Amino acid sequence: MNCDIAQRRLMSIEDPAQVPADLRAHLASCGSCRDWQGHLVQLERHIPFLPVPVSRARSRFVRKLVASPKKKQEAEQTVPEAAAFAGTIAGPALAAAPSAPRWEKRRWLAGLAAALLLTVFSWWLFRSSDSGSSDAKTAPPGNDPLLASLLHYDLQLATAKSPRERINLLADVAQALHDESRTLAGDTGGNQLTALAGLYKQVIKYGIAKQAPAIPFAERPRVFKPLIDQLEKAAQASERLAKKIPPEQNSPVQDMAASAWEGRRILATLLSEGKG
Amino acid sequence: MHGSYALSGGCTGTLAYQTRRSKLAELDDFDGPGDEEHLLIHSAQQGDRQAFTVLVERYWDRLYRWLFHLTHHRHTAEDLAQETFLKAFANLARFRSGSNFHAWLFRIGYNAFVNQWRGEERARQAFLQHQPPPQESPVDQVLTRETMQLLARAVGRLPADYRAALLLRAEEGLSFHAIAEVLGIKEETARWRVFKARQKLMTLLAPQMDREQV
Repeated sequence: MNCDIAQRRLMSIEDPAQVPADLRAHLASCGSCRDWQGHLVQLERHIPFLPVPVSRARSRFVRKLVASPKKKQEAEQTVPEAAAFAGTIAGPALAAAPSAPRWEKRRWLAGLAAALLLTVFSWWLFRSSDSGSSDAKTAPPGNDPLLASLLHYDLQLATAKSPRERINLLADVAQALHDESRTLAGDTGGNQLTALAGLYKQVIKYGIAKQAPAIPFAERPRVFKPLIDQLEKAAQASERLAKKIPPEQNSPVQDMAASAWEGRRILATLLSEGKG
Repeated sequence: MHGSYALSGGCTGTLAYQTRRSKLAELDDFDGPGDEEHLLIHSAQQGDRQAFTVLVERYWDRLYRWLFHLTHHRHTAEDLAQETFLKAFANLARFRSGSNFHAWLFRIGYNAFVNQWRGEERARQAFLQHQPPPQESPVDQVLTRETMQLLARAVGRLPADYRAALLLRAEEGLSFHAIAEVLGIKEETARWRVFKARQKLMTLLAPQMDREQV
């Protein structure tokens, strides 16, 4: 082994201080390469000591993170009032059929974050009434992982600065709803699944599809491609699920597949516009 | 100007929260991931923010240092670190138990960096404008101040792809496999990038180190 090969090998192994046997043999007989290895190891070991300004943001961030559950708890405490308010403006149809056109229009105008929050309330109301338990009607939604997750996304959505952030959050909401559909299909009746499919459709149709045109053309491939992939997988998974579950649950799952395909189609169209 | 400087990554959390927080902090007293980290991740996946804050305190400085070396800008690195942790928290449910949380987190951080900097082309900002002044460190005794300055400059001038890979190796101790996972590339490409970064550093600095040795 000559020195050039030895040095190239030293630079291509994970730890130049821990050399394999054949390289060790060369180093034992070559002072020049030993020095060279020493320099390489020394340089690499000093990299963690390169000066970097201290970050003071960590403690601020941790404080905010720890404080946010309080905000969430406050939000949860206001759920009954807000749900009552939602019921007032949307009428009884909200719980069972959150897709009334007038309601959708109001919701969109109220802003994306508010829309999602109300979606959460409607889902909470529906789930409570569907469970038939009086406790469920008054219990906050924090115990429900899906609702807790949607509330969390809602808090983030309210502070999202760009269409890209918003569309990514909405994609997460869509994924959470899709994941929940797989759980519901396994152990409950079809009513909740029907409501869930309605919410899923709204998140795609009035959330993702409305936000998507605001994404600049240059950003579209980076933002849309993962989302297109996500929706395609969700659609395929829903189609597979629809074949496995009882016929009475079949229809909402197929609706979810259709919504996902539609979302995918819209994004693909917008993506191709960007290319043109 | 920058007041003080972090010489190395690490977790020196100073915030004291309630009993549960303290118990979780005790779990943090170990090197590298293990059962405790899996427990923290599992708790965080159930919505336990206190558990997640322990993960934030464990990884913040390391992630921030790496992002600073990529961006050369403190506030941008802090924003990206914050964005990374928010995304990680929002997507924790998708994190597969048993996989490498360290690599997963840095992958999110790298995506955030790429999204921001590719679009805005701010990576072209002059390195020296944002590079903090040299700082004495315990290892200055070994490597001279001049060589440390040269090293800082040389690392800062490496192509971003090479720099990202080398720092993951030298600072984070990640394997080529894990580097590939973070950067979304093949393992051989990760090895190649680290190789090229080392080659460039050695070309620039080995002569200087030889002179000092004499």
